Amino acid sequence: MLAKMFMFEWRYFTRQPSFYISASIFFILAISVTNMQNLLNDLGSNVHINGPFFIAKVMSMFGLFAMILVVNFMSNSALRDHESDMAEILYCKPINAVMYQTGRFLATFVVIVVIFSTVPIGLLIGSLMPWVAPERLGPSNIAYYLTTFFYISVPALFVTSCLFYAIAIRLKAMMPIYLSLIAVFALYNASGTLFLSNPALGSLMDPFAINTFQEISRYWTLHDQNNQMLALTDNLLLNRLLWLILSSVILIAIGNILSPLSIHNKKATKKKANTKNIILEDTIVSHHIVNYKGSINPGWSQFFARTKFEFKQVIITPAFLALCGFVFLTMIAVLFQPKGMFGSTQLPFTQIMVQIIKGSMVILSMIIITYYSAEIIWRERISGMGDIIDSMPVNNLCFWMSKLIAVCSILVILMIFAICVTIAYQFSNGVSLIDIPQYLISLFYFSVLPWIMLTILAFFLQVISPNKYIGMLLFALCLGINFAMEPLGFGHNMFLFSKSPILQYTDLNGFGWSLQSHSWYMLYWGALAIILSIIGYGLWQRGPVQSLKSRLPKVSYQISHTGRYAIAICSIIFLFSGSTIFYNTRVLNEYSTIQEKDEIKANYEKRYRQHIDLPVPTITKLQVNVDLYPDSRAVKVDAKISLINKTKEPINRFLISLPYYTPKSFTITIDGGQLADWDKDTNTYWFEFNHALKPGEQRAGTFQLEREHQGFVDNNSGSANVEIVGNGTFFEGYAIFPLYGYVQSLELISPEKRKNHGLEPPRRAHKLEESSYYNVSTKGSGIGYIDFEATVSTTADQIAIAPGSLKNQWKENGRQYFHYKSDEPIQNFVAFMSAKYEKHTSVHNGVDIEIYYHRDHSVNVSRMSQAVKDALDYFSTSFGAYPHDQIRIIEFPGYRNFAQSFPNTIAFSERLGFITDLRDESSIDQIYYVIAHEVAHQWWGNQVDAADVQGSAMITETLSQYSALMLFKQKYGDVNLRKVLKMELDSYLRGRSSEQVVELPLMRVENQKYIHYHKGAIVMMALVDLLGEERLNHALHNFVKRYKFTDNIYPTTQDLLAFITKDATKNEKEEIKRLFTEVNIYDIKTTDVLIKPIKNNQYQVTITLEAKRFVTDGQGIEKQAPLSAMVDIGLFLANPEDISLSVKSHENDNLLYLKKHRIKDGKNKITFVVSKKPLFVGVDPFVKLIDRDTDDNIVKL
Amino acid sequence: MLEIDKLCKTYDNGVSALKNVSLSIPKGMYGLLGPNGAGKSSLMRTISTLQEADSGNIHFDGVDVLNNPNELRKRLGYLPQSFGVYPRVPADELLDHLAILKGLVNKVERKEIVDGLLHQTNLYQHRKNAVSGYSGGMRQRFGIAQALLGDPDLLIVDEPTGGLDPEERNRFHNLLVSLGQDKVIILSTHIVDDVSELCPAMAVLAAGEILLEGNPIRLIEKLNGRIWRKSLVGDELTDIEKEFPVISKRLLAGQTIVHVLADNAPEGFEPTPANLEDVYFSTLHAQRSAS
Repeated sequence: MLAKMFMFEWRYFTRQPSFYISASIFFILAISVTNMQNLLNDLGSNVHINGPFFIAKVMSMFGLFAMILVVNFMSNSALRDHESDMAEILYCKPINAVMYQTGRFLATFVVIVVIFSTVPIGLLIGSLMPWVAPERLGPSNIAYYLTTFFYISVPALFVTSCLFYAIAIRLKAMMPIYLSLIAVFALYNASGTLFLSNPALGSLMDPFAINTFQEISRYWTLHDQNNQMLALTDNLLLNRLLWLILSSVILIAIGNILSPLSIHNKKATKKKANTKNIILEDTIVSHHIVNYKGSINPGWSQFFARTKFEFKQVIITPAFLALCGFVFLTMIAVLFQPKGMFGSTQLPFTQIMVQIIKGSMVILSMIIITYYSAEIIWRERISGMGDIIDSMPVNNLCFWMSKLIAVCSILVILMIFAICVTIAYQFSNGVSLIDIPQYLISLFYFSVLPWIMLTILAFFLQVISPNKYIGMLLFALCLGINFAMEPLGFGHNMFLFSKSPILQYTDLNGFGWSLQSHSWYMLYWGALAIILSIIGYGLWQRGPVQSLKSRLPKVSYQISHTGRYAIAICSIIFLFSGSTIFYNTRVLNEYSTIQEKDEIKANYEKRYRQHIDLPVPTITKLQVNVDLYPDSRAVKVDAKISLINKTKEPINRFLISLPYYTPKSFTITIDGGQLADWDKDTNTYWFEFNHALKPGEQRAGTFQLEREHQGFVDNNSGSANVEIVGNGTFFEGYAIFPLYGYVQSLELISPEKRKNHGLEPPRRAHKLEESSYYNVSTKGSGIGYIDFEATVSTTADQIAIAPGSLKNQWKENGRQYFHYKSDEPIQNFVAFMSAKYEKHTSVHNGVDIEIYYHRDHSVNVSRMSQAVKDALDYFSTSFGAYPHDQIRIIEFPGYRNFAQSFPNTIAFSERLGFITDLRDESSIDQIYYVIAHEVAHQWWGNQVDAADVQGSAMITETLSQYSALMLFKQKYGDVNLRKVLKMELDSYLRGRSSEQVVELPLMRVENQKYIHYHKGAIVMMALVDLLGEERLNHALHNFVKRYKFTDNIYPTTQDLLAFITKDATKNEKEEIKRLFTEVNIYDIKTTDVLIKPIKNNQYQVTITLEAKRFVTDGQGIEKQAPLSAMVDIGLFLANPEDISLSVKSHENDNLLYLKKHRIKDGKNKITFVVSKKPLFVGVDPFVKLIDRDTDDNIVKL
Repeated sequence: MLEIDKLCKTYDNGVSALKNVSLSIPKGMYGLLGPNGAGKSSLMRTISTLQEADSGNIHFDGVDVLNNPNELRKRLGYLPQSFGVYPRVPADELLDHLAILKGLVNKVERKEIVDGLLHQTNLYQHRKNAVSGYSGGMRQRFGIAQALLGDPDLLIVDEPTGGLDPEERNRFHNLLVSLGQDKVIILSTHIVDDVSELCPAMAVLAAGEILLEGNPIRLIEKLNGRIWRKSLVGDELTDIEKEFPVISKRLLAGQTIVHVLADNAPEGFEPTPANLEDVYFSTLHAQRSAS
């Protein structure tokens, strides 16, 4: 019986075209994944595409996507008897219910699994395709595919299968199934959100095991990613067991799979009707029938009636309420989820609220469009009322429009609901800045309008499809294709239906120019959507399902003259707006695909790399007039410069690269020479001297440059697009000054891309030992310390800022002029800003602290000012005096999200700190940390720059990290510092797993953020622990003294370490060597703790722990190495994880014992006596070692 | 009034549903008789603008039906052979909705019509119940009510009496008759009595072809004197079927009675007056033996 049911069901599905269509779609998608460059690079450019990491990542994502497959097949299987009215015939047969249902469920499940098996097969075949680069392939191992398939994919399919089958059997309708799909998706999202704060729980909650795998592979190095077989242990095993049990319970309890068969009907209503029928008197019709003819032109009334009807059918349903519920829950989860560093949130400004709404609606809206379109388009045919409705004198357009309005009203009402939720949240949070126009424009004009166009596309695809499942698949395919367009060279928004260039809203600059560009794109896509609509209602199904072919001849009749005119008009609008967009994005502005940009970079390297060692003059004086025109987004630059040849060779010619944004005009003059060849392609000139610039010789020159944004671009993501804006201009010198010599940072980085372009493996930095670069700073050749003077002008209502002291300010011709001059030489690394600012000023020990901010962003300003004061105090005392008379923090629009330090100037993003919610006194002040870091750059980077060789970032960034951490520790204490260090450690361990080239020791870091920021933080804390604050700061003080403002020679990490190890002991030197020149990973685990009360109320504590040390080579291959180190052992009276305990008092009240003990490889036993009974034991509790798993270091007793 | 000219339709799966069907249908009731699968519903659907024809023409009172379906829909009432309804919508609301779709814009008129039709179809008491919960007969009556909305000039009813009990069937017949003589009413059915009771004109459709067309009474007259009957005993049937053109056989009180078409009385047969059933079966018989 079971076998027969199984075979029947199996044969049924394998006869359906949907089986083959779905299988091919999954197969083709899987194959094409191996050619999706974006995805490949996101997952790491050295990851083998037939390696375990890649396979697991891709297949687990496919598991999520496969929900659409499961929904279709399971609902078909569960509802078929009911929908085809076979139930009554079938259920009266003597069939064994359990066998019948189990067989059918299993067969459907196997069908789904078989279809999904095309994914691993496709991935395997895809890896053999010619487009796969050979270095992306490791040895093929079928087991990688099989383990992922059986551990991750099959269980995921089983969970969703059980759930959807159960819901379908129980509720006998499609809408609850779709809703449960949304619920599963919401669960997945929630698990992702939870994952951030609680990885263990988050990875357990995820039925698709996407987060689980992320948790497992969190610290996988490249070697692991390509070789580590997925194992069914720990979290994964737990997750799989949990979900297997849960879904079986659902199947049995809700899906009634073990219960007898029963026919689902509406007995109640039927009975009522029948009883009434009996008492009905038999009135034989005889009287004259009252009847009227229909109106000749009932169009509008029909339309209103139909719209009202469709609206009621979708909105006044429990399903819609459930949707609102989902939106509400998702948003609540996000609203109460901390986002910033250290768990702080941002104040509920409208721009943040809008992002939250968009975030919770973006995928939900796609699901709604997909499923509601299918249901509403096929409603007449599914309910069986099609023949009656369709023979009515109703225009196709009326059906089309009423259904369209119904689906759109779901989106609109949900959006209004979401807005109400966030406004309520804003009120309850005491934010009075509720910006209704921003809500409406951002959410309706920028989001809902494109969704409506997508709905039209979904409608159109449903109308041309033979059934709703094909229609849904086609629509899903269209959505999916958008992701594949960019790698195929069709990344321009003109190829991506309903899309327009994205520009985020910022409080400083509002919508910027995006209102204009979005309007053009909406006109363009809107015209196309209307054409689709017209053809769509022309092809509208009436009566029984008829093939597309037989409906085609009627299109012209159905759309009539009006339709044809409309198509003609829309085509003109489409072409016109299309040409406007083309003109703006590809004629007025340069548009290049990623491939073209890579090509330019490769060409630059091929042509000019050979000249890397050619000597370059150094600028020593810069006197510049910068005229800003924010309204037309233009700038005019007129500069006088002095150059000197600091090298030992004469300079005959040198390279000039224009700023990365092609200027409108550019001229440069230097005595005794002129511009020669212009390489348009790479935007590079040769400057040739008639008389060579001799060593030590100084010459004067000028340059003029004009830059203006015209029209709009298709891709706003480049920073060049957001530098000169209406309000909130911020750009570096690089944006307006030419660069001298070969610019290494313009090279391609990805090893794979380099190989494709026939370039050598990447050289991210010069070797540490290459002394010929010791006179070049990190900012590039030709850049040193300069005398700086700038006159910046802007519109009358804005303040313009440049480094230096403000010497003069005046108004002229309706413009504001500001004259800045540096009182002492500054690094040739400057920034220019202009916006309508509020200004907060205070004076501290003779230094002006100025904060320039947007009028609505005053909340944290005084806190920032205090942070600057603290930083100036600590750093000047420890490292040497602050060299300027003022320090400025200047807010810039949130297009870019960072803070950056220029001489006496710190640029600070709107998103970073200005709107952080620090009203809760118990949360850690992240602004303090960031400001401390940026102020530290006034020493590290601005006073002391590093030589342009390996390790340079250790001097500029790691020392800034150290300074910030020390300040932070001074204010918040060790226990809070521990939390920060734990996060830094985690970032390091994660970062190293996405290393593309090679992980180097700190001393040789090659601009690898995870090393110089995150590992650097841990290493410096270990160093200060080793040497003590005073000794280390003294060494740094001397280091600053030696290298301050020296621009004939810049220090390397060797020089820095020489200062640090100057009076170190042999043991200390040994330890320092380990910290800076090796890649060490420790694994220390507390296995057992024994506490024995002894006399005098004292306790003897015996801790057993296991320790290992690994030395890691550049490819992430670890080798165990001998271990003998002094490690902190701490005893606590409260959980050190709980920061809220100690934020206010940085006395470590709860610290009972803290001492170093020597730890060796393998098992260690440590015994000591304390006076109180401890509650927590920690090994290395303050995170001074790179320990792979810090969670097992602290043990609760 | 309704002219059907050389209508052909072949489905995608190769089934030829209509082969060169030409009919001229006058005002009044018109019976379209045919066995299951004859193509009746295909023809009805094509006339009702729900299905495209491969070739041929349909004209109704000057309206080119195939090329201008919307025009016909304004004057059409259609009761499909089987139909479903939107779930959870009460009868009066659904009928009101359909009335608007029919073009009955005036609210007062519409109310009058909807109530009237609900009364006429005996559904008024149940008007607040969802049609999806109705029994088969009630649902069929609802179908009739909706077909009559807007006083159609062309009323197409496709096998309307299938689910009705005899009483309801009578009532329905009365209703059809009372609709008057100035509209075209096509009654498609496989029940001969429906046609004989109601229709002054009829056609027989089988395997997509029109086999016979005419006035039932005249058609019967043609057969008068050529129909012979015999009550069979035992297993005579096979022999008789071999020997004579048996056009029908049926049971009466346990005995098989066969009708045979012949110019002269075969041995052992007695004459019997011809009826419409004989016309129908002899036509089908002739077609079957021809093919």
